[in-house]
Amino acid sequence: MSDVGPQQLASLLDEHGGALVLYARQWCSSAEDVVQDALVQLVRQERTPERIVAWLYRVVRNGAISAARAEQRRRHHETDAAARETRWFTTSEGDRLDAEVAQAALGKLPLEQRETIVARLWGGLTFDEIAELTGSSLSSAHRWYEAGLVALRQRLGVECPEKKTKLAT
Amino acid sequence: MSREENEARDLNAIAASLSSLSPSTGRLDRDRLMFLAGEAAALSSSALPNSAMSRTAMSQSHEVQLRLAARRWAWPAAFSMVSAVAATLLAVLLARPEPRVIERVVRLPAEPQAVVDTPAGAAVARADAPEQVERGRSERPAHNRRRGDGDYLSLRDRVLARGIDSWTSSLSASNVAPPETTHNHRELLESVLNSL
Repeated sequence: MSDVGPQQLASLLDEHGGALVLYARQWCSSAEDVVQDALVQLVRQERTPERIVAWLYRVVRNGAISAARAEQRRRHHETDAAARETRWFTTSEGDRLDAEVAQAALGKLPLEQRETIVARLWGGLTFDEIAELTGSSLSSAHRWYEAGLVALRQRLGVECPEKKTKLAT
Repeated sequence: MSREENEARDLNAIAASLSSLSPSTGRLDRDRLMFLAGEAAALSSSALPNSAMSRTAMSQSHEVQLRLAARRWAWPAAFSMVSAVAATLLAVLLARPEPRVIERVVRLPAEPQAVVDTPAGAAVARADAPEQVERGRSERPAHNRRRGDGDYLSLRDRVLARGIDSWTSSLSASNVAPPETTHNHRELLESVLNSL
């Protein structure tokens, strides 16, 4: 049995639950179920994985892709509607960005860029772990991350330095 | 400040702004998750032999598992055994040697010589009126016809084996004394007793 006890499971849920759900939402609408299954699967492991967070992201990724395939087979309109109404972020007064605007901008990114940005920013994974997770190279992970941030900066209304320079002159 | 540095700083700023957003856990039910995790942990510990179960409970569980396994394997084992027996019998049947042919010489009492029509007369009759011959054969009783055919065949064999002289000798012998015909063992026995 895994050495993950109730306290560690609770702390994992508190620290990474939201990010894992956000990561799973990049593929499917039943993200909470996927994350729950991944955490239960962690408890069932005979040996605790060395890097638990990276292991959880990999399990969530596989589960979310499987769930997305199942959703495509069912093609329920209710599922699509629920996915549109789901809020990816909780709003608070200290937010520097509007949560809905950020969700919309993030949702328009290509999947590779979205996945990399979520895993890096909210999951806290290193680029090595992201490359291993996505089955790509380290340079690809870097490239997707930067391209996604540039696209988000443009969509969120932040001007790029080149335009600033032109406007200044 | 170079352009790359500006861009990197800007990207870090947007990354920091995005990081300030806290992802929503959605419908993730904490209580349900803890319940499922506890259930999974209990199932995993019960499946392991080195768990904290008492010896009595382990032995009882072991007996129950053995009983269930025996019940589960009873029918397949019986089916396998019957199939093996059937396969063995089939193999024995296929590998059985062919029956050995034993030739024995059985000596039977010689059949009495029957009266045979003269071949010349038969040939003439056959040449003159074959239809009458056929009609006459068909009008004869079946047992006579069969017997006549047998006589003809034996006569033919004798002629082929010994020559034409044997035919004439048998013809004269048949004219002199027609042998008695015995039809069954009782008549044969009576004839032997009479001869004594």
